[in-house]
Amino acid sequence: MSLDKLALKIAKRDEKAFERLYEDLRRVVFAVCLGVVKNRGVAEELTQETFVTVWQKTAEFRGVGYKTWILTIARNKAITLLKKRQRETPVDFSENERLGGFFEPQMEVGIALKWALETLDEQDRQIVLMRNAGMKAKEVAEILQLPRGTVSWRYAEALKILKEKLEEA
Amino acid sequence: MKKSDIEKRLQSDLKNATPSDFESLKRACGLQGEKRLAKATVPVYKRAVATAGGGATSKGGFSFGKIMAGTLAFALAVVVAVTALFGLFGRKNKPVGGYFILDINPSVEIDYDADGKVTEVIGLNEDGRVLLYGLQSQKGKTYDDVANVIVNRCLKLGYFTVEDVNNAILVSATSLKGGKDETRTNEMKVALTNVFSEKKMAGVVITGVVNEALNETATSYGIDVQKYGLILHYLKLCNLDENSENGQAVLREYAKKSVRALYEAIDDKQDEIEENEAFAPLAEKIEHIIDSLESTQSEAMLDILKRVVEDMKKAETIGDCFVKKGILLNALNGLKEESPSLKDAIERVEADIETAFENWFENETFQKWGKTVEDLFNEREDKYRDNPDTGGENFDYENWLEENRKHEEDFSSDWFGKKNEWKELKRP
Repeated sequence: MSLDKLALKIAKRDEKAFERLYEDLRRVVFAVCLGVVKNRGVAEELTQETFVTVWQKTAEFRGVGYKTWILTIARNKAITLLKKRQRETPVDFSENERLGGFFEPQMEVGIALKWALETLDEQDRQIVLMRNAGMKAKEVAEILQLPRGTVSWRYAEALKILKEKLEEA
Repeated sequence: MKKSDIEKRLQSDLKNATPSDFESLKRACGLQGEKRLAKATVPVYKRAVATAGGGATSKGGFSFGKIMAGTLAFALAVVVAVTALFGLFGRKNKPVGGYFILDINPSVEIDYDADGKVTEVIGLNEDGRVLLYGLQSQKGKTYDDVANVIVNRCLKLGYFTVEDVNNAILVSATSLKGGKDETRTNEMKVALTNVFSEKKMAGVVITGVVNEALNETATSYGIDVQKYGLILHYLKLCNLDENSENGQAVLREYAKKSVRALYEAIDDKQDEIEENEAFAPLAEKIEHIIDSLESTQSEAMLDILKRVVEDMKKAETIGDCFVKKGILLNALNGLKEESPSLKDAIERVEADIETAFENWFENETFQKWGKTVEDLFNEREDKYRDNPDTGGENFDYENWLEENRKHEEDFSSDWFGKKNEWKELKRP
């Protein structure tokens, strides 16, 4: 079922459609959140919060891209939370960086994902996660407000970095 | 290490890390947590554990009591061992849970446990979900109860009408051990035909598609005819020939899927086709509007505008359509600036395009997209409110069935063909 149809049904409080939307988009929403906050547990919470907002606000949605709208909500929530935590965090940035900017302990993730979170800079990390969550380069470019060519080029470079790390490991 | 290897690892890691707790999300949204009924489970066969019996013993040496206790314990152990062994072999014959598929046009799955009691009832397609909308839990009910509920609902929502000779249900039961469960299938058939009889309504219940050619082909793929029929339906929607390379690849892939997954795939494909066809009428309308500029614009300019309209026909989402509309309106705005004398004509075209879009959102296809299961249920309930729920007093079901064996055979040999015809007739 297309996102348009799902949006129409969710606006009318169709739980089945909402469940379907969750199944279709949870990975990419999670990837968007994780790319910003670098912490799996926090990203899980943000994913849930995003879908709660989607449930509450779909009836008010007026736009051309339901998926873009949802992912923008996710990204904005993640950025807002990160900024808030950074304001609250005491001085030791190196420790804070290692924990991904949060005091919540980092939950275990697979090694490829671990290197992506720890090694790549903010933009490359987000590009890599979003592309591997199933988003096309054009979609990533739209969310991150980057030229499409830049997304493709940076993705290729980021994978080279990860390749080195994984081969070392 | 190749790029694709890295991507596979990333994708796998992401998949494993992604949360999947919809129930928790529902609670966070303030939605009633749906009570998921327990799936049918195979009972654990418990083996008694022999323990050495105790008895009064005297100090030092053997006592009669001790000997008796020992003998009894030994006998008990033998009995337990034999029972356990019997259980291990006999386990093959112990009933296990499974599921029925009832195919009417609504398609419904009814899960049952080892005792034959219902554990869950699920709508497999949209009509199935409409049929079951608002239904109370059927957990613990018997086949007779559920058969009654299903047939009553079919009457209430217009999927059956009492005098319609084409009322028909295809029923099959599959054991959780794998393979068809003929006993349960026949039990459900009896339950359903009893309901037809009590309600004095015409209708047949078939337990298989009796068509040699279909059966043979299905068997060659290692699947049953019902599943084969679903896959053929899916291939038809995809415009794929079963014997083509792509057709074969799809067939082999989908043969491994569950019946439930097949119904979902068919639903998705039908949605996709509907959506693809939805934007074409709008685009054609816009094309016609653009044609009105023919006498005022160069062919080259008209070509540019019409190419945008062609893209609109292939739009996959409403969003795409709006983007194309934006491009058209920008182009028209540009034309207005270049040719002020054509301002009025172009503004008329712009207004017509806006109107076409507004009207399109009011149309039947688009309105249908937003209909929930509840909407569809309410529509059917309203429309078929006056449907009688029993047939005429003088109707004798057993006699009717006897006189209409050929009818039953026709359904059995051409279930899929008959179902398609009948589905069209029963649309609200």
